[in-house]
Amino acid sequence: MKNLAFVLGFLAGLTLVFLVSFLIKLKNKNRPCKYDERQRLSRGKAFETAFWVLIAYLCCNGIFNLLTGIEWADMLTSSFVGVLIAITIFAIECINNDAYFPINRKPGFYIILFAIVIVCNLAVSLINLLGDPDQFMTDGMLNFHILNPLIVIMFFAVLIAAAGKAHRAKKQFGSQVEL
Amino acid sequence: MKNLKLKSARAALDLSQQELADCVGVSRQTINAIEMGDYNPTIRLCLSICHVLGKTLDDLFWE
Repeated sequence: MKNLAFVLGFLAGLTLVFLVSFLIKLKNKNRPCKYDERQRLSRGKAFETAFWVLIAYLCCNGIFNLLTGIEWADMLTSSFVGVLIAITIFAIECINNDAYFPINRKPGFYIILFAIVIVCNLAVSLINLLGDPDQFMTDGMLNFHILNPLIVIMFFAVLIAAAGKAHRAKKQFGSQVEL
Repeated sequence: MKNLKLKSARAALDLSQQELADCVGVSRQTINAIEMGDYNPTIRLCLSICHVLGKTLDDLFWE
């Protein structure tokens, strides 16, 4: 029953993400995201870094499990942790190279979106934590409930990177920088 | 190596990095990276910049 609830919740979350993405795409139908040539190059390099980090993570995780026999998280959770780490590295590297935000969009929109994601996941994490702290573990392994706080940490790291970059740019270029 | 020729040609027209970037369809950071010598633009972008600034490739990008 708990698994059915999880699957339904997971599908509802996915549907919501696709719906929001679709609505944003529909709103900007005539104005698709545009990256210039330097940004595309930087994004390609960041994508490559994230790819190798994910490979390294999967290898380390597998070797650790093989050598020690310890499973620290279930299959879904450990896979998603790797994906979250890779996406975070991709985003931060892009932000540091000014290649994350499209040239025809204001970063402010994304920052608000990230803040909403942080608030939603933080709320779910707190509800889980206050309800039953033990539900983060199943049979001594971390389960999917740990993903919400991890998503908060991930988006928070991305927000800090974006704020730091904007601050440095503002210091360097003053009024030319806008959020 | 810094591209001071591009910077001075832009300044001569009283254009900010953002204004030049908008004219050629790239980000301000890309114009800054070109001026700082951190990014080597494609010939296509070089031509766009030359067109906006009224200069030749030799004027701006030939050492």
